[in-house]
Amino acid sequence: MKHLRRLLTVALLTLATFTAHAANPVGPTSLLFAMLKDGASNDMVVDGSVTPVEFDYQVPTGKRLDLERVNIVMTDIAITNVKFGGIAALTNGLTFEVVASDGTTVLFDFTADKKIRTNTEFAFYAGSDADILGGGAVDALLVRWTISKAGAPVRLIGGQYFRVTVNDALAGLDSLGVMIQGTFR
Amino acid sequence: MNTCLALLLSMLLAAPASGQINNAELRDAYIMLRNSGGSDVMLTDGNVSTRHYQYKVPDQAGLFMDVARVNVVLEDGTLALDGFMGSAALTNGLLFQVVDTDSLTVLYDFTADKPIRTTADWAFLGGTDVELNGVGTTQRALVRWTIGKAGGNLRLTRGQFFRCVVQDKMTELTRMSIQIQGTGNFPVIPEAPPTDVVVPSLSTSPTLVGGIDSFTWHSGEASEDVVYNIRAVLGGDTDFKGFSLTFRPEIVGSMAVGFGGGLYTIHIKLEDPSFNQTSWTLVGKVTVLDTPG
Repeated sequence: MKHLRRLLTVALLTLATFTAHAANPVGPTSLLFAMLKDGASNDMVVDGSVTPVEFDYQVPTGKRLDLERVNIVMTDIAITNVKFGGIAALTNGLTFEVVASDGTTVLFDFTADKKIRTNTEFAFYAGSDADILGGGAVDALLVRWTISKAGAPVRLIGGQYFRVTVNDALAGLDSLGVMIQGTFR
Repeated sequence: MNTCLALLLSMLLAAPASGQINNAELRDAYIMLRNSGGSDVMLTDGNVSTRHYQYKVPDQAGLFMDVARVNVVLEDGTLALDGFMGSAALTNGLLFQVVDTDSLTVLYDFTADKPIRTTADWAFLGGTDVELNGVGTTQRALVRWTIGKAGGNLRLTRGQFFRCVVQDKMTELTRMSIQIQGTGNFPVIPEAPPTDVVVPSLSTSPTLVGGIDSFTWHSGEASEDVVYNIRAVLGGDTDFKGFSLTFRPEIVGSMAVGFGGGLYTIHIKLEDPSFNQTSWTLVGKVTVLDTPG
C-alpha cells in the first residue's frame, strides 16, 4: 500500500506538471517569436566557409526564456534529400548551440554528434516534421523542431544566446531563415 | 491515500473545460478575423491604407480569451512558394499583432522580425503545418499556426485585439480568411460586427519646410473609436516611406478633443534627409475599427 501510494503521488504530480505546462495561458508580452540574426539581418544566405557567421537570439537581462520550438524555412530550386537546399551537401554543416553570456562559451551543442549537412539531416532533430514542398519555380524545406518534445523546453537565462552558426558557403540558396518560439517565465 | 484522492479530485475539477460548448464558465471559440465592415474576406487593398482584420475581446470586466490556434485558408489560381500564392512576394507583408484596448498600442507583434511576404514565410509561424494542395485551377495553402506550442496559449483580456494587418494589395487572390480558435469566458454569440461609417477623405498639399511641417484638419467624425490611416504619397500611387505622421488633438477652450472627431494638428516629420520634394500630398481614409461603447 505504501508503494502504491508513493507511485500514485508521483503519477499525479507528473500529470499536474504537464497539465500546468500545457494549459497555462500567457500574456502577449510573455511570448517570444524571434528570428535569429547576425546583427540586424536574418538572411542566412551567407558565406561562412572562411569565417563562420553566427545568427543569435540573446535573452534580455533579467528574463528567463523557455525555448520550445525552432522553425526553419529554406527555399531553393530543386531541393532534394541529399543536398542542402538545392546546393551540394555542406562540408562543415550548421551548428545549433546554447552559448553563455560571454558570447563564446558553448554551454550545449545540440549538433555535437551530428552537424546538419543535408536536408534530410534536419530530421535527426525534428523527426518527421521536416517536409519538402514543391510549388512553382522553387521548392521549400519546412522544419519544425520542437525542442520541448525531448522532455522539456530549454531554459535560457538573461544574457545567454541561442545560436546557429553557418560554417559553409551558402551562396546560391534562395532563402534560409530560423525563427525561435518560446515563453518568458 | 486520501491525500492522493483529494489531489486527483481537485485536478479533475480544475481541468480546463476544453471541448465544452455551452459551459457557463468557459466556451470554445471559433472566430473569424473581420474588418470594420464585418467581412472576413481579406481580398483587400492595403497598399495605401493598411487594413485591419481582427477580433476584440468584449470590453467587460473579467472577460478573456485564450487563443490556442490560428488557421489560415488561402486559394489562388496558381501558387509559388517564393511568391504570395499566385502573386509576387508582398512588399510590406502581413502582420499579426496583439493590440491594447486603445486599438493603437501594439502589445506584441509576432511578425516584428518577419512579416509574412511569401507562401513559404507562413512556415516561420506554423512550422510544417503549411499544406499545399489544389485541384484543377484552384491552388490552396492551409496554415495551422498553434500559438500554444510556443509554451502557452495567448491570453487576451477585455478589450484587447488579435489583429492581422494587411499592408499590400491582396485583391488578386481568390480567397484569404483567418480563423482563431481557443477558449474564453465570453458569451457564445459574438458582438455584432461594427458598421461602416462614412469615410471622408483627406487631401491636402502642405509645404515641407526644414523637414517638419504641420497643419490643421477637421476630421468631421464624432466617434471615439476612429483611427486614421494616413500616408504620404506623391501623385496618385507612389507610397513614400520615411515619413512619420502623428496626430495631436487641438485644444479647444480648456478641453482636448478626443481621438475621434474634431480639429487635429497633423505633424509631419521627414525622416529621410535625402528627400528633397517640397510639394507633396497627403491622402488618407478614416475607418472605424471598433464597435463604439
